[in-house]
Amino acid sequence: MPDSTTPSAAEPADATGQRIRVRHLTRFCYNGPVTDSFNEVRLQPLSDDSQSCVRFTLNLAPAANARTYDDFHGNRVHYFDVTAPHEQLDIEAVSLVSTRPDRQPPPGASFPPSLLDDPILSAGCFDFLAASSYVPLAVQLRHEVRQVIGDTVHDLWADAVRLGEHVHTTLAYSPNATKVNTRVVDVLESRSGVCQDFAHLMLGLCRSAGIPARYVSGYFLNPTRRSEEIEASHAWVEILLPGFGWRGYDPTHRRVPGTNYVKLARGRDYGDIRPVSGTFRGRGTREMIVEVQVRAAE
Amino acid sequence: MTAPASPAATRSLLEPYDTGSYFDEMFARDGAVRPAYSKVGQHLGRLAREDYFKKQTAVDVAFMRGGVTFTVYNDNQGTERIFPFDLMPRVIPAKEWEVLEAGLIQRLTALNLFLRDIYHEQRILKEGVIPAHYVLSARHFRREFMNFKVPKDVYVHICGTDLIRDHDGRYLVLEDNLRCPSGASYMIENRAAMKRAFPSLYQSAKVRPVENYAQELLKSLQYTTPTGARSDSPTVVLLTPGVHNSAYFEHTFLARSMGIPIVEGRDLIVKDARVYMRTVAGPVPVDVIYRRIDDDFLDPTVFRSDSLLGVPGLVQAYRAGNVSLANTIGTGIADDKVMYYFVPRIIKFYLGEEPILPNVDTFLASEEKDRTYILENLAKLVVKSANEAGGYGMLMGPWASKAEIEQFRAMIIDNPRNFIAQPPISLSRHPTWCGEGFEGRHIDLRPYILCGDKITVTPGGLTRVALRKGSLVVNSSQGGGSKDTWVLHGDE
Repeated sequence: MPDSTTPSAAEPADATGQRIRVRHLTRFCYNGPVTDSFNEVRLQPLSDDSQSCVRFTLNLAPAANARTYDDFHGNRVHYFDVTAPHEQLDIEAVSLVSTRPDRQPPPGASFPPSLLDDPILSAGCFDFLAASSYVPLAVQLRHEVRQVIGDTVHDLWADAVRLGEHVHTTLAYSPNATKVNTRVVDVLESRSGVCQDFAHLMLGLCRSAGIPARYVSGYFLNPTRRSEEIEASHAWVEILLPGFGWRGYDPTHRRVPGTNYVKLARGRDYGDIRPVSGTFRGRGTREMIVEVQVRAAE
Repeated sequence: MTAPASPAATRSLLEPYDTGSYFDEMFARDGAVRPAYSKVGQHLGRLAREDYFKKQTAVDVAFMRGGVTFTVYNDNQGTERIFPFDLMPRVIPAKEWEVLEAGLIQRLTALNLFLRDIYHEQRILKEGVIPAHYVLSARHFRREFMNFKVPKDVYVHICGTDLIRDHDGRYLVLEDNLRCPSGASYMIENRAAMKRAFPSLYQSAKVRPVENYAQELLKSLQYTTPTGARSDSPTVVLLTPGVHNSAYFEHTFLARSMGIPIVEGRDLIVKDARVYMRTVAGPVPVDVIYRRIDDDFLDPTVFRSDSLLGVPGLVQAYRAGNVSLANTIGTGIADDKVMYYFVPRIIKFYLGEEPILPNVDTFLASEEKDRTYILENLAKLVVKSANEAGGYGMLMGPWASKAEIEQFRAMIIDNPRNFIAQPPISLSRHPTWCGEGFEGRHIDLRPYILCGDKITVTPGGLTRVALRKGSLVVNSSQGGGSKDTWVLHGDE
C-alpha cells in the first residue's frame, strides 16, 4: 500500500533527464499457512514521452510464473498464482528508469474548455470527467470549485493549477489521518491526508469543473532526502489538454513533476492502479511490510 | 370475430373462439384458419374434450416426474414449480422462419462485431455513431477486458433473443439476451412431450427438429477451445451456481444431453493459470467452460470478492489463454436496454445493411427531448430499467397505479441513464387451453442462436404465453407458461 513521502520543496534542475533506480518490496506475513493466492501487481514503470523503463525485474518468493497484460489504461500488469501452502509472500520489483524533461506547451498556448467538444476526445476522456469509486462527485466539490475559480472554466490548465494550489494550501499533510480506502468525501471533512488524498481531492475538483483529470502513481527521487526519512510511493494528477496531451501536476508539492518523478501507473483513481491486489485462502495477514528505495543510478 | 360454427354434429374444441381485436396466430381476421395451422386445426378440432384433457394431464405428470421445473425468487410458497405447458403448438411456416433466421443471424453477427470493437478499437464511439458515455457508463462494460483477445473472436456463443408480434403480425425484437440465456431445455422437453401426446399429428405436420440443439451447442463450445489446450478432444464442463439457482434443472439437462460434467465453483481449481476439475482420479485439465454464472460471481479475485460461487484465479487462466468461457466476460454491455436502442445503428455501422428485424420504438430517458416526452406520457408507456431482466424493474404505464407512476417518475429524474420507455405493444395472441376451452392469450418467442464456426438458429424456440387473461407478461417468474414451437418444412 502506498504511503507518501513527506512534502519537500527541493526542485532539482533537470534540463537533460536522469536515470533512476527503484526497488519496491511488498512482504505479506500471514497468520499460518495460506493457499490459492492469486495476485495482480502494477509495479512496472510506464514507458512514454517523458520516461523509459530500461530494466524491470519482478522477484517473487515463493517463486511463481508471472504473466503480463496491459490494462484499460495502458498499465503493464503482472499476474501470478501461488497455490501451494506458504506463510510469507515477497513481491519485489526492481526497475531502472530513464526520464526526460516533459514537453512544454508552446508559450502563450491556451486551452479553452470548448476544445473538449469533439466525439473522439469525448470517448477518450469520459472516464476522467465522471465520478469514480474513490472520487464520487459530491455536491460540496462543486461548491468548492465555484469558490476557487468562479462559475466557468476559462483555461483547462490554468484553472486546474488553481484548484491544485487550493488543495495544497487547504489540506494538511498528515500520514495518519487517512487510510488507503479513504474516499474524497472524507478528505473534504478531515482536510488532511497523504498524497493519495491530495490527488483524489484535486481529481474531484477538476472533474466537477469539467476538466478531465486522471490519477498517477509513482515515485520521486528526493535529492535532499535525510537518511531517516521514510521513502514511499507517491501519487499525483494529470490534466488532459486537447491538442497537447496529458500534463502532470503534483498537489502535494504544488509543482509540475520534473525528471525526478517516475510514473508507475495511471487510471481513474487509486482503485485502478492498486500496486498489489489479490486473494488467498487462509487465516489472514498478520503484517504487511512495504519498503521503497528510489536512488539516482550512475 | 367468432369462428364460424362447424356444420358437423360434434362441435370442434376450437369453437367458440374469439380473436378479439388482436393479431391471432392461428386465425386470420376473417376467421379462416391460417394455412400453417391447417393440420393442427383439423387434428385438435376433432379431439373430444376428455381426450384433450387426458393428454394434458399426462404431460403435466410427466413434467413433474421428470423434474422439469424452475424456481421463483421472492416467493413464499414452495419455490420450485413446473413450467406450465400448453399443448396447442405455435406454428411458424417456412417462409416466415426464413426471415426470422436471416434477421437473427444478421443481428448476432453485428452484436459480435460490436463487442469486439468496444473492447478493442472503439471505432463506433470514435466515429460518433454511439455517444461514448452510454457505453462507458454501462454497468456491464468490463474495463478489465479491454484489449483482451477472446478465443476465435466469438463473444456470444449462445444468444436467446426475444421476439414479439404486434397488432399487424409484424415480428419485432423485444430484447437480446447475451449473458446466460435460459430456456433451451424447455424447448427440447416441450418437443418430447408433444411427440408423445400427438405422435400422428407430429408426423404429418412436417416439423423441423430441435433435438440436436445440445449437440450443436457442444460443437460451438468445442470450436472455441483455446490454442493453449493440450489435447485434440477438449474437456468441456458446465459451471452452475448450484441447486438453488432458478435454472438448475436446465443446467443438469444440458450437461447430460451434451455428455459433459456439471461442476460447481468448488469443483474447479486453478494452478499456474490452468483450470482443473477435481475428480476421484485426480485433477483433470479443463479447456472450455459453459458458465451459467454471471460475470460478477465468476472469480472473487477480480469481481465480487464476497462471492463463493466462482473460481478464484479463473480470470487469470482465461487471460493466459488456457481456458475458454462461454459466453465471454463483458457481453452484458449489449444487453443494456440503452444499447438495444442503438442496435439498428450497430447493424448499419458494421454490416452496411438495414436491420431485417425491427426494434420496438424506444425512447431514451437520458436524451432531454425523449425524457420530456416520457415524463409527460408515463401513463401510456412501458418503462424499463436498463439492466434488469425477467420482467423485473418495469412500469406498465396503462395498468399502473398513480403511486407506481410517481415512483418511476422520481427514479427516472434521479438516474435517467438507467431507463428507457416504449409504447405498449399489443402482442399477438394464440389459442391456449384455459380450463374450459381455448381462449386467446398473448405470446412471445425466444429462439436460440448459436455461434461457432458459423451462426445457426435452432428451428423452433421457446414460445412463452401469458396465462393470466389480458396479461402481457410472459416471464416464467411471473405467471407465464410455454408452448412447443413448430417450424414447418413448408408453409402449410
